[in-house]
Amino acid sequence: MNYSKAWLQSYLSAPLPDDVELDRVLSSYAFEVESVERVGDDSIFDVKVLPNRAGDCLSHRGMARELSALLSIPMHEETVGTDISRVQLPEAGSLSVSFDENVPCRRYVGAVVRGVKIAPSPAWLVARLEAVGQRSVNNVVDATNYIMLGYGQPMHAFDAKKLSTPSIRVRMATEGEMFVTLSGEEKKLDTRIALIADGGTGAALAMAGVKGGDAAAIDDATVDLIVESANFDASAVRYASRSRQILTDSAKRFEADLDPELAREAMERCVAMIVSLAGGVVESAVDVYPRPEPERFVALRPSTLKGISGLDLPRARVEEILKSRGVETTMGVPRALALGYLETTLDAPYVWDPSVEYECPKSFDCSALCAWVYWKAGVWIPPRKSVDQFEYCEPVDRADMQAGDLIFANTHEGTIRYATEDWMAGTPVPAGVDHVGMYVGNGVVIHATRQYGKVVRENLDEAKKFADITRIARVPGADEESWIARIPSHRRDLRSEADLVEEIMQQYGYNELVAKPQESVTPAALTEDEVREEVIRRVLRTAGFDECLSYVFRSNGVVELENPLASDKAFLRVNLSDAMRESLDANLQYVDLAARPAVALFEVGTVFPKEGEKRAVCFGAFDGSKKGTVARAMIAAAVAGLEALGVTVAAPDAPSAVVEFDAAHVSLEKARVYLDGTPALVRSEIRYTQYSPYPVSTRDVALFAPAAGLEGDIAATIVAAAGVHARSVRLFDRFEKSPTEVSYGFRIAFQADDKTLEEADLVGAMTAVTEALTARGWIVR
Amino acid sequence: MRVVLGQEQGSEHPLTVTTAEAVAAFRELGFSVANGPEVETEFYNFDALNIPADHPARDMWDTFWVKGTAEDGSRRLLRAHTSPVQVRHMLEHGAPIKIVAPGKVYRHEATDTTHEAQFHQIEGLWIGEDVSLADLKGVLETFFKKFFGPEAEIRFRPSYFPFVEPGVEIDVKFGGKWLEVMGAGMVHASVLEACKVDPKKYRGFAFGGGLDRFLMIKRGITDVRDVYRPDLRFLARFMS
Repeated sequence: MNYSKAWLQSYLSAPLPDDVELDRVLSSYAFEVESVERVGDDSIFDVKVLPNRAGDCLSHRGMARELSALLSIPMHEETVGTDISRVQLPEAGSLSVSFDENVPCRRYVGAVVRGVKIAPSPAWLVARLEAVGQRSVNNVVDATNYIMLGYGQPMHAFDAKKLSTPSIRVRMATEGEMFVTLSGEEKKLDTRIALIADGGTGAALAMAGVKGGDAAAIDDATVDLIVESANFDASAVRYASRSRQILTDSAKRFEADLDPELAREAMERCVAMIVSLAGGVVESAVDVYPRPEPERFVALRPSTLKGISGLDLPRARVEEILKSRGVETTMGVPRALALGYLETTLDAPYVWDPSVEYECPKSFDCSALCAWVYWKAGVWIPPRKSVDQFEYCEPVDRADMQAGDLIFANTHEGTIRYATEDWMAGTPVPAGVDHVGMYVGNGVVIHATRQYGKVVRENLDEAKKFADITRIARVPGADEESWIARIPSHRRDLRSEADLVEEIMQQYGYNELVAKPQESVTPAALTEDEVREEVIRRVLRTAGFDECLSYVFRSNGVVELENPLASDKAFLRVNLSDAMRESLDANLQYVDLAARPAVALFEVGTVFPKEGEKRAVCFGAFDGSKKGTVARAMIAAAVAGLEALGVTVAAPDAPSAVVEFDAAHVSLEKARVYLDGTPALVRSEIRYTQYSPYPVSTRDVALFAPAAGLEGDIAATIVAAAGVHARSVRLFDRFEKSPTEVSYGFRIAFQADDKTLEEADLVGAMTAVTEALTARGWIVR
Repeated sequence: MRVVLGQEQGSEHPLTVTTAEAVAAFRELGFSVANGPEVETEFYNFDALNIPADHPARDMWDTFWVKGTAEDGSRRLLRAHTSPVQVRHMLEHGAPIKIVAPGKVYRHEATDTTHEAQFHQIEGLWIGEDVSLADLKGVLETFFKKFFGPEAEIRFRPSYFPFVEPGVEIDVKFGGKWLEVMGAGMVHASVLEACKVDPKKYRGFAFGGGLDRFLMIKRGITDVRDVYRPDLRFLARFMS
């Protein structure tokens, strides 16, 4: 997202550092900065907000909050060219909002503003929006966009007169329902997509959280508005947006799991801004919020912080960092806190399977009661089933039972569970469990039970439900004095100890981590695949073959892609041979450049037949001649080498041969013998320089010299004389006519980095070579 | 200039060299090698790694989907990272674990000098009762000094991957420049639990980096596509 530095500054009470320093701070402690651009007096930072922080940082205030923590600059109310301070919304009025059952809408704040005058926005607003890439439309639409970019809450304004009555209904689309977006695109919907509809007629006004429609769009004649500030379920919005390919700023924010608490604040600011820019009065408002967000706590154990970071962080520093990030902490022992919460639950009604976060403490079942009291204390245990809690908690002897421990029982009535379901699903629990309560000391248990229809306190010995106790267990992590961290509502990504450790470490600085010295050990044995592939490479390289890699996507095969990059790359290769044949042909022109006697290549790679996938090996050789003498000899050498590994392959009788076999055919026993008995081959560590795309030319030179063993001397002479375009010199022929008359044949490959060589270049080079050889007294033929 | 006076051995592909060097360095630190299939399922590639369907984190991996479904009804795909090997290894062997998994991975994206639709990663996973970020830093510092040379420095930056918490990006200073080379972090408790490893008892770290990128940095290759072209002009540059 693009952030205006001036906009960020408007939330902060001391000046931000210069652009270079701001870039450094963000990159080192928060997010990657993609670019910084000066625009007039402002700087625009394009920041790549991490996906887990998109929920709170895709806004200027969100990013300012991050900077406030990192730079120790206090925040204040935004200073801006108009009034956007929060207004008191009217409690009621003409507007009504209703939800159909099971709509993915967590909150809907609606407000009616009457008597606005649509007009262009003031210059400061246009400038601010345009600085971050948002086109100005008119004062009302700009106000909604300003709130989104400033505070992170997507807003929408409908023309109230275009609705049958001032009422909004949130409903699901019908299968195949057509919807026309503001930009005129027609989309066919399905029943997983939620709509904002006219409460009177049911006509769709917007795809919830994604995009508005044209039915109630604002135009120049609009005077009455219905303003929406809602919160929708992240995955529902993502589905609607992705499946219908409508990627909007709104969908992007909801997908990130936006804080429902933000919706009301954003509405309060947005209507203030609209009234100040476009006039009118806020006539009515409605806030439908069926499941308000609970307060959330996470107990962070000092031992966890140390265990993950390896550091002993000073307690005050930890608390200071968390506080700067809006996370208030107190020290506490979760077990004691849980027992305290437990006392408040007595007589609460029993309802089966409530949501621990949203429905407790209004009602409980047995497992929810235990989960809720610990969750309130910042410790998570599996919430829904006693069998999962049984397996999750640490068993203790009954003699060691303490207040706060959980007591599990098999009531032998109804459904008894013998295996875990949500925690490490499928773990057997032979004793069977269907009930749980919490021990509070003095032989007393508190539990939620259908038997009494509520949470009760009973003597353990008399409690019918606990006649058959199958385990006493302790809640892990509940006995250490911990930071009980209160998580601010906008940090929906902070849900576990590890999340808090990350929060602390990011600000403390990962560079403060102390590397733990690692011991070198005797390496583990090679895997079977490694052994096989290593010996295959040695054998084929010994026979003169060069290793290559080829592309896995082919125009034919049996394993097909749903979404290939191109129609001729729709299949995974069934073999390596097809690509190998192409490679042999394509590389013949470069054989001299590489100073090889033939194109001889091999590849080890995965192939994809109909069933399974396997490692295959392929080798091939081509020397360009009709007879293929050189290529045949190389293939024969490879075949013989493989024979020693237990691989029997037949080479086709052809001048250009390609052979393929399964790597698994290599005998492991023979491979190990080979590995032990032959030295490792030379490993090239040469640094690469880009090859030239220009054509290669070759010239041969043959000469007589008075002795054998002069090839090194001759080659050096050629190298020195052949000029800058000579790329390789290879001795391709040597023949002793007599001990004092030996014939040498050299092939020289020429290539330029910047042009196609011309005949004159080659003639010049070869003349120099001839002269140099002649000067040594050798007879060039 | 190549001068060839007799019969020569064939050459190794530079990526083979890089992979072997990387694996050898980790092996010395007690890691053993694990492998997994390239045609994977949605479960191993995403779900078990705390990346549920309809989650924005899925956008981090542009995926090639493979026609047909797996035996368990799961959708098939080309693995977008080597992380599924972690899942398979944990489910099969349980903790403790100390493995590296080199292998080919796939991303559905347009190719250019720094992006290929097929490339190679090396994944590491160390799970034990007392494994921390200090071990991660120790392992990676040792590795990169071994791999790039003793002057190599590393640094951690904040990052996010759904299967780790905390998550970090690893940069290496090589040739005077900081280069982004790896993602890493402490394995997310949900991933351990999905892989039947008790997160109350065990913790550990995972890391993953592009072997092609290691190769390009170390050997000075500027176009990743050259690595996957069977072209003697490229291969000859590594022949002595």
